[in-house]
Amino acid sequence: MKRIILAFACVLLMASAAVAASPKDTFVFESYGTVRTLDPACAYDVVSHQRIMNIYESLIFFDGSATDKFAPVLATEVPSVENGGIRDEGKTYEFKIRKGVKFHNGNDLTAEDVAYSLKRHMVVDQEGGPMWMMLEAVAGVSSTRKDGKIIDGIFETIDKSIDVKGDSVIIHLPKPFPPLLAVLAYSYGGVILDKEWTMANGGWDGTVKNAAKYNGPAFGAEPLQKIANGTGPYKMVKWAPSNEFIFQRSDNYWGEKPQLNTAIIRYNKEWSSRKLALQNGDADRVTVDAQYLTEVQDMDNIKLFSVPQLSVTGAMFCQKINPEANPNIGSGKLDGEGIPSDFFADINVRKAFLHAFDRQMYIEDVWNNNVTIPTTPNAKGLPYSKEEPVYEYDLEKAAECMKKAWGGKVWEKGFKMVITHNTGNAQREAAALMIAENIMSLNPKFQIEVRNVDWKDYNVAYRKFQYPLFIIGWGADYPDPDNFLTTFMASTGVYGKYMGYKNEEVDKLARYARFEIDPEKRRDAYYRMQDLWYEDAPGVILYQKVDHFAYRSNIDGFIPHPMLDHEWENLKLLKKN
Amino acid sequence: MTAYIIRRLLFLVFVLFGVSILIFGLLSTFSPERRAAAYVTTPKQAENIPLIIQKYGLDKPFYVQYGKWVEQVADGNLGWSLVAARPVAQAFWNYFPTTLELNLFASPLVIIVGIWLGTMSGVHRDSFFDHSTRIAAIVGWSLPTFLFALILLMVFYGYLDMFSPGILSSDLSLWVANNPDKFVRYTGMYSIDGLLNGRLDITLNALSHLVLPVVTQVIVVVALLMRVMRSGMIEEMNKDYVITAKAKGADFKTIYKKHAKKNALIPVITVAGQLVALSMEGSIAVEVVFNRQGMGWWLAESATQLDMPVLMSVCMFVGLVFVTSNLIIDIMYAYVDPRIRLH
Amino acid sequence: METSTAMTAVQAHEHPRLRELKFTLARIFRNPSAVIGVVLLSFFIGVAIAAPYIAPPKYAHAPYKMPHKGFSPTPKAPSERFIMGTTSGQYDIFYGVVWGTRTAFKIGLFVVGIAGFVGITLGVLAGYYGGWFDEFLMRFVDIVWSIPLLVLAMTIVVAFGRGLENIMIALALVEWRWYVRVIRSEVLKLRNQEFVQAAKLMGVSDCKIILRHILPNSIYPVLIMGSMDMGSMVISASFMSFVGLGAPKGYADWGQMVALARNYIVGPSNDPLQFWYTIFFPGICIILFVLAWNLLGDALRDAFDPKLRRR
Repeated sequence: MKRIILAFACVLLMASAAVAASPKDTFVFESYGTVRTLDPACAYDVVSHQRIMNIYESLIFFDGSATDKFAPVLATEVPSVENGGIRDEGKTYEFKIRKGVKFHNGNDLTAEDVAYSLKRHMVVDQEGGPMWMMLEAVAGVSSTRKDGKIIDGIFETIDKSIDVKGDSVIIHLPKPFPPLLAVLAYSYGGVILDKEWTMANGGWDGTVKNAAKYNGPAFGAEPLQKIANGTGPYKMVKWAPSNEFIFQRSDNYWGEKPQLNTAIIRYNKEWSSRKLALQNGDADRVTVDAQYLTEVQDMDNIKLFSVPQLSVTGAMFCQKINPEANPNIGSGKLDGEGIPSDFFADINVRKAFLHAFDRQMYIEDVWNNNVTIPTTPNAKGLPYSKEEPVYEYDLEKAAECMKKAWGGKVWEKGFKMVITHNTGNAQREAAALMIAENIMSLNPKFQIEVRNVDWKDYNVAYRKFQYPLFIIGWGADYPDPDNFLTTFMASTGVYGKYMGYKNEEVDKLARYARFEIDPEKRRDAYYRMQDLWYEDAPGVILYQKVDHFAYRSNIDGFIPHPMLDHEWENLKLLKKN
Repeated sequence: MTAYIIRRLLFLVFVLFGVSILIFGLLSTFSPERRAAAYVTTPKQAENIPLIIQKYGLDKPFYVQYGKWVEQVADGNLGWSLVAARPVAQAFWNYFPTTLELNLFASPLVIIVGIWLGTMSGVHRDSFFDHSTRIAAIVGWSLPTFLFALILLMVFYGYLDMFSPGILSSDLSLWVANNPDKFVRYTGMYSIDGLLNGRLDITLNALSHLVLPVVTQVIVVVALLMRVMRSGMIEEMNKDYVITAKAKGADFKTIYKKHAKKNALIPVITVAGQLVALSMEGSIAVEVVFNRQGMGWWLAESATQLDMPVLMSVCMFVGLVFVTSNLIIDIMYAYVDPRIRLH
Repeated sequence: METSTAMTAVQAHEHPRLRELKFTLARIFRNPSAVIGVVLLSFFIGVAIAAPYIAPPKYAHAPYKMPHKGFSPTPKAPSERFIMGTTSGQYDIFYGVVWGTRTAFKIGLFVVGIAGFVGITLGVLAGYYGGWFDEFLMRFVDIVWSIPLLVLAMTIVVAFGRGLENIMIALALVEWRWYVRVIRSEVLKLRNQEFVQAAKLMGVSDCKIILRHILPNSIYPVLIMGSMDMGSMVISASFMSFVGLGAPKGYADWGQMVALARNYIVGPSNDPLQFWYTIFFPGICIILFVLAWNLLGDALRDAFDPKLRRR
């Protein structure tokens, strides 16, 4: 008996040793993101985006690392004013469709497929999906529904906005929409499907009459949720959710043949396990969170890329906190036991908090000197980015501001409040702690508690104005200052709204600059908005996200891009030696 | 006997109903916004929360929502799992074999090791062996499972580069994905499918991935069994028949092997249900650390991400397993101990 | 023989319960592992009481908040200033370990106290009176019983919000079912015994019977279970921290510290044990704490079990 066990153990050991290191023409990537759907009309997260954009293709894609230059993919050239592709003062876009492209199932790509795909995505427009961008461009609305009902004539508008003319597809806009090319380059609206195949699999039948039936499917009910048939360099072999996703090189790809035959993206939540997989060569790349960066830096045979993203995180003051049953503001009065709901409406309070943020230490300790802190929400790398002055870390100045605040009452009475951050984000947590501890050191009557809240709950609570100060990030939908400055500052912006910050001038500038085509006028408007960010101090920008790409040193071909975060991998570019 | 079983099966229906009401009630304490937020991944999407609430009727009263759920289940639709990005029923069959495989290998080991250690410990009560095994068992058990699992991972995978985490190595997993016709997934468990398809290498590979998870699972669960076996053994060893046999000069080994051990096994059966529950809980940490996506992992993920349909279905499934296993235990009990009658 | 008669003579003057207690104590302390358990426990109790003197808190209003110097995620080795080193986020491990002792007792006492009280009350009432209440309660327990402890606790914590208080409430809410079952079966055994029946016939009130006769004779299994639970609840709480539902980072709680340190078990490849202190100190505390309660529980079991005690 004992001998049998021993022999068995030996065999097991051999079996386990024999399979070290991932195979030669296979790329193994371990990460913790989960795919929700492969339907390009519904996917609105970076993980699904990676899968979709390696299987399907769009008309154009980012050129190298640039955010404002594009390379043609399924179009033969990128439309511009010069080549006549953009006409009517930016209201007409023409794309010439590439010939000789085949879908994985053997069908040919036609201009008809392209027009159908762009329309189909908008027709589907799932709740919480990405289609608001395209709808904004072609119909001037952000959804096909209003109050739960389909807007009259919306499908006609969509249908008319896109035409086929010979081998070209023409998009008509009601008014100029400068970010259109960037939207089309991402999977959030520009992915091209095979019309015949999509219809055969229960997708929109192409008629305006029946469009309503295909509109707003429930989560998971979208027809292309787990099947895929694109023109891209890779096919999907297997998708076992939260386990592994296997890509296989497509034989009928129109472009250059990629070097890697297969790619496995494996789900692995535990950092220790991912780290060991990278170290032992069982994975060719793993996702590294910022706090573990130093551990990877110490490893041998690793290539590490740190890529700043078009994504900024800030701590935002809420100037009209919801006083109803809100545990975050104590008594709700300025009596030393809480804060009033308009506590942050006094600019002195805001300035005091800004002076309490130790940027230097934050950069060194929390980010290991591997981060930039933009001075305004307009992230570095975006057009019209302007370096503004900052409220430097200075506790004396902070104390001075606090003494002035609320006519001296704050200093005299003290206050109690709660700062929240979402659970699991070490960088945001550190910022919350730093601000809280520094403010508390000013005056023993200042009491700030730091709490963590689950991300889902966080999303709900700040939108109910429950947090006096909320820490939140924004990643670019398209690389344009409008997507950031409007979001953070306009009183209608996604965050501006919940900060209760309202400055007429800002609102006017935001509306005006969005549709302005003259670059100089646009620049001036955005410069002024950034000046106002400093003057009004509605919040503090904490960091511009940096993502880390850790590869085994025998992998080449990675091109960093500020819009493509750590879940991204362009498989066709990779080479394994 | 038959009547008893029928009654117990009726009881099963009652329990499932109760569990579903309980979990549903618990989940209804979340505000509609929070449940809608489960569908949201980006701040921009959060703008649609009111629309999502409307669409899924999350603001309707409890009984309306529960009624809707029952209706769906009656239709065979268990709902959509956000975590798994699959319908619940389908995701279940993806994850269940992984957990089953783990426990299929762990359980016999638990039983063998637990009974052996418990017997020896009970026979040699208060000896050095007794104290050291008890303390070792308690230490193993008092380490949080995840900690123990991580330490094993570090020693074996980190230092010695063997027993990598996961379910199957990349190359074999690839081969399986590419050859669905040559490798039929009869059971969904690679170790067994490998044998059924005549691919011994796949079986061995799957087993090598199972070694550390199984060891962890055994250490976690074995302490309970050992303890029950030990006290059962002590009790039996002090019974008159053993003392008489001893006095008559019977061989010590024969006494405890032939007589005492058999009788001491009876109380062990009563804790079998508890062992099932412990194994289920142990699976959670084991699966997370060793990166094996199974039921435990799925459940933990669903509980933290508010994946309602999954929590409902899986809790009911666990209830089902639990009640049926208790039924089987009762029947076994009656079989082993003729004094017990099932009414 | 001589001595034993003498002892019986002395013992005759004592109250029989007191005599039993003495015997039990003697039985417990004959067992070396029980002695180890008691010594360990006394040590932990000492640390918990003296915590403010061993590790004076920085903020008097929030003593469970571990002090930290800086924010760097990389742990730092033990030094003169931080004798057990600092963990991720530069929190002082020594401080956390000391105040964590209090947290551990808090978790154990709260959960076992509430679960024990609710369970015993309901269990005794159900067992003693029987009838529809018993039927109803036991069916309810059956239902709760079919949901694994950790899953139920996790759902409750998610529902109520994260944090240690909610974990304790959740654990108490799921743990009481054990006590109900155990004490009820004990009460059922006693209910029909002669001395209880006799007391009933003599007209002793139910309340008195329960307090005087039923409870003292059925409490031992509950005591044993309670003692084991004191330890295992700390493990359950640490599991919550592991899945990300636990106390916030920087809270002096062993489970949280261990969960936080889990990413440092595997150090860099050139020095895999570089961060041993982040996991060792809180980990060893959990082990010893649970061990202590278990040893005590085991000893109680051996001492109280009527079939085992006299041998």
